[in-house]
Amino acid sequence: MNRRVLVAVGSGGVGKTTMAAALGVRARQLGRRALVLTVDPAKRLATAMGLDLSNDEVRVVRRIERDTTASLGAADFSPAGEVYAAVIDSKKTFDDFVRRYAKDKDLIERLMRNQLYRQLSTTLAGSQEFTALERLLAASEAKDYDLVILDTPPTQHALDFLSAPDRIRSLFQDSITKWFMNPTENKSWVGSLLSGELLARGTRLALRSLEALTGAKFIEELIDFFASVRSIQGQLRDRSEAVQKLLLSRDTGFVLVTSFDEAKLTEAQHLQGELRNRGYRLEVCILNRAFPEILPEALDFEKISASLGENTPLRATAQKVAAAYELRYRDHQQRFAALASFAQRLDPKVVLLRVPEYRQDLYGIEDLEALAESLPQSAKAGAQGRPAAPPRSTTEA
Amino acid sequence: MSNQVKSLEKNLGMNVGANPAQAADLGGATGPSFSGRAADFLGAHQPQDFLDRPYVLVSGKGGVGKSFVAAALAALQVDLGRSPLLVETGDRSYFQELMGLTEVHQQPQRTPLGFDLVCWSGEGCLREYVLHLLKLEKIYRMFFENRVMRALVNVAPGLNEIAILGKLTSGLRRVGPRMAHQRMVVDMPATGHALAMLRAPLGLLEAVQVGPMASNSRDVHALLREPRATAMVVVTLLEELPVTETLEFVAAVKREFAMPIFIVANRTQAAPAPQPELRSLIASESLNEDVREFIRGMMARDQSEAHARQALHEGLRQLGLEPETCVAEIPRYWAAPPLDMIRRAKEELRKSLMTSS
Repeated sequence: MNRRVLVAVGSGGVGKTTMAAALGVRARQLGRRALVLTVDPAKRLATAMGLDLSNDEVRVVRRIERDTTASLGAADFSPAGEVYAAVIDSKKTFDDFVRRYAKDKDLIERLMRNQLYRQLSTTLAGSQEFTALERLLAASEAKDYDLVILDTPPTQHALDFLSAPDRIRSLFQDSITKWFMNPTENKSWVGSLLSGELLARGTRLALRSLEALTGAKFIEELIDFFASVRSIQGQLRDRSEAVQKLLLSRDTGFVLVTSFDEAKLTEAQHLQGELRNRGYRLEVCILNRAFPEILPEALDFEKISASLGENTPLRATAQKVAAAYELRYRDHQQRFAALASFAQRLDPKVVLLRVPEYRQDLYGIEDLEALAESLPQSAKAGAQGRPAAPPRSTTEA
Repeated sequence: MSNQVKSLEKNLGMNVGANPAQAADLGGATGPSFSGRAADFLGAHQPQDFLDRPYVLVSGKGGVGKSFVAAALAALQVDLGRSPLLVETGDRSYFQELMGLTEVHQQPQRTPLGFDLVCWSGEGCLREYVLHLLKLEKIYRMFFENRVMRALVNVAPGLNEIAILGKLTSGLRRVGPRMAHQRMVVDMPATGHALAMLRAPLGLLEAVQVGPMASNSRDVHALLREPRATAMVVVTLLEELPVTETLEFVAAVKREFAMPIFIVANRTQAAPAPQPELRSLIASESLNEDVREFIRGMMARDQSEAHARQALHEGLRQLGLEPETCVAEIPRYWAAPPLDMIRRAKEELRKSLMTSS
């Protein structure tokens, strides 16, 4: 992968964050300097990466020294590689952004006090999308890293966050915000604004309706908000445009994470289409938990039962096991059919990685390292995984 | 047009800078208590069982089967002689295809399982609300087609969430068009977003204290905090990460909303026979290694679920909940048609839910 930016997208519960971390570690193993930006990592993963969830500092992810991990070959390590990780703090990113671009100190303080701003910068829905992208942009511009990986927020719809720049851009257009310009500090100009001729009739009425719904104080806060923000709206728009440019650039690749589950595969199909429609570059599709069961090549329970002889209790147990196997096998077949159909519809240029399910959850950095190590193998498995008919065995490497 | 505009201005009444106390439906910062308001709406009704509430919310970590359990709960309500509405939130319906329906949106449709299904989007609910308040369609359209308003609505935090909650509770609060259903099972977003949704009314109240939106938000919050009105079912898997997230979520919901809570551990995979039996079988020489591996795999899964179950129960006890009465388990149904799975899950849930309230 030659990209400088990777964006991991996918529906909830597919292991996106773990994969983003694993990709970062893999980059490190290949001798690159990588940064993984996460929004909401589980505590265990955060610990594994050496992250302190209470702040958004960039931390070095602990690296394994050669002699403590016998399974990893010396050739896989490059001394130049480093991987860093950081948790995105929405409120802080918002505030940092304001402080950087607003020149007037009084204005900054006024904005920080404004209720609308406070809501906007702290509510989940409002802030994560904007700040995740802002952090990504800042990191890629800083050129401190060869690769920046963004683990996207678990929004209701996996690609919601991508439209955040557009929404912000449309809100902070001059044609809209100029109506809220406050030439003087006099609060009563709110009244003159709403009853005078400054606004088009439609806008005036709309605002009065809003006022009836929300009360005069809210309108004041709203107007105050726009007046304060007006001075940084240029930068807001510029940043939003820069983000969009970055996402569409040749340097940026998308990684779609999904899992071996019919519902998730359907969602992934949908996501793939949306990415294509918006012109984003889908590089890799990671199929997580691809081998949920170890299903033996052929289980001849008749033979087993027969060979158990007259030992009835064991035969009874063998029957139960046979029944369990039968159910799982049928389920597996169905899922393989869904997978085959998904793989067929996947753009042939997209690399499909199939990552097996581990019996236990990831415990620490060793597991992440091992997972990262296995990714090239997963690519081979993925390439094989586009057959016309689903294979019966799942015990391939 | 100008007559309508004039009458709107008259309707809206308020002049800027007018005394806020004149605003209808005030409440105010020291208004009636939240529980007082809820009692007004509910009367003396006491729930006979866990599901005997107007709002049963269903949430859990992403990917654990929230929607599946929500459907099973709605199906159970039907069996109990009630006519629930299964509410999906967001822009696209998950159940549409499964239930063989076309285009599930703002209007309810009957499903093959006997309950009605609807999918409410924030924008759809907001439009309905504004239309209801502004009454005249032409004015409402002017409101929404205005660029300033559209821009604001797109960015305003929590507005979509409040609109959905507002619609959900409008029947009980006697606001807006009549609701045909008295009971709703809500397929909520995943834990983080569900919390954000539940917190939205209070969030709005920090920015807006007077006017219809504020008093509506106050009432919505009151109903969320009323144990007789709203309960939460949290779906999890018997795996470490989901259990951890479940416990954190339960703690937050209890702390902030005092909601009655029920846990559903979904897709459990018990080994097909007790461990000693399986060990004897493995020890037998008639088996080849593949079969042994397969059996070991099932046993390992069973073991890890046992650990997760222990962690879940212990965590719930620490939060003051009794796992014996507030946890149900639904086994994984292999290769079964979805509607069948929902029916089977419904039976499992019936056993556990009918003994709690």
